[in-house]
Amino acid sequence: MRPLARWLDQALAIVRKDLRREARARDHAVSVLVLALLLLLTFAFAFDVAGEQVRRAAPGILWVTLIFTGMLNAGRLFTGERERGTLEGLLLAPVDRGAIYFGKFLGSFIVMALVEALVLPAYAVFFNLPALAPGVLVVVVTGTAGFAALATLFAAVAANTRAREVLLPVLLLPVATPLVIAGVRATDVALGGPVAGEGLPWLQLAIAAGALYFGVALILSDYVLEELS
Amino acid sequence: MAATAPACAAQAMCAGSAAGRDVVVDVRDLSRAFGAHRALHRVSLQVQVGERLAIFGPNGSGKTTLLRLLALLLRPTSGRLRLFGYEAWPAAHELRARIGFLGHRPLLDEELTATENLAFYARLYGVPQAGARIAELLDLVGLGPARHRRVRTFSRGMQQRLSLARAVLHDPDLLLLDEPDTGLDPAGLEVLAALLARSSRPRTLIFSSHRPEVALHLAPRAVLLSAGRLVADGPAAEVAARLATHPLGPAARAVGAG
Repeated sequence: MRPLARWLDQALAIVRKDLRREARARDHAVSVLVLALLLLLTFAFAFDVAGEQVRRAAPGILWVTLIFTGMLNAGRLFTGERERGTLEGLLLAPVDRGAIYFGKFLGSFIVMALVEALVLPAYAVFFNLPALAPGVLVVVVTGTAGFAALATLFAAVAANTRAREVLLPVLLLPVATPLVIAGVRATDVALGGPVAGEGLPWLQLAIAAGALYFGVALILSDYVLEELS
Repeated sequence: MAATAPACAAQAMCAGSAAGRDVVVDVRDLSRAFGAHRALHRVSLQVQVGERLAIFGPNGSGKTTLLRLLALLLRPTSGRLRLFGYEAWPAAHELRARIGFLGHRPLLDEELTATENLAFYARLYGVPQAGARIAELLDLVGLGPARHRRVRTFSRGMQQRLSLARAVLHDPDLLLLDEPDTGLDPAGLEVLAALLARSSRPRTLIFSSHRPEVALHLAPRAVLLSAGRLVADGPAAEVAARLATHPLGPAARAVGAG
């Protein structure tokens, strides 16, 4: 098997294993989903959903929800493996650390996408907004991918420390700020109409930020993951 | 050495590979510290192709640390580690394909079945004809009937057997076992011996054990670790006798038997 094909095969093996595990245990994805719905519900009670105030705050509400659930999801990527005693199995194998990173990132993104498939309709109902419009979906998927790319790397960094629950958000949120700002602004435009035009520069910024995070994370994954044992 | 040497992606990885191919493990003044605690201190050791070596020592003597260093799970604090004639860490990616490791934890996902666990590792290691290999190993370790059961339904002994199967799945040249006899009944010990005997080429074995009576059947040579230092290296029976007279020897055996 050619090196790239092997690299991908190993990454996909990790994705498949993680998703299979999650489909059976359902402990992690359910926690993420419950958190997301509780956040939306809390915001729905906190704001007068009929008022203009909520329309202005709505994009931020969605992204706060996505960020906190994304962090919860990422936090378990490597610490979960460590607690189950399976992380060493990955590190023992002749797997490029970049392939481990990519597999974990892809698995994280898929779980978040599945959670968002349930969260967005709830968001649309709670706040009476066209959250399932194509433009909103493009922005959310793009932003989720970029956030997952960054969160996966920092989850690996934090997994090696005692203060991992605190360290992950401390590392992640400041660096993710450009992506989050772009995501909020693009969502704001998308909720009011087509994202093309006024929203396009923000969408482009979100894509650029996500691609940058992914590229840097892939380069650093060798060093970060090698230190995990 | 009959095994194929790993591809050298860079000249640095090949330094020294032409010489000493019969020496699988070459350790010089190897040390590992965890903060202020020195778990291993200036251990030097050579193991030849096909050799079987037992590591004895009381709890906390550094047996697990040494095995984890050889498995490339830990980086040494100082000293030199060469495996199959290569500087270990620059060639770590390639060398990992030739090492099998069994630690204290089974490294199995409890939500997956026995077959699924082995299939996952077979994919990571690029094991050819994985389906047949997995079926053969599961039958060999006596887990054939349980192949489709999730690991969380397994007893400790069953998990240990499956973990043994995982460690030899890719037919490694170097097998590192940390107390492999833990959790195994007499039938399980026979399985262990059968697995070790079954290899397509000479396999080097290094294992630790709290039970000299078991180890003596598996290895003619042994080393004794004490407080992170290598204090004896020689015929297994002689080293086992020194363990018996070690200040912590009887207590260690009592703990191991408990």
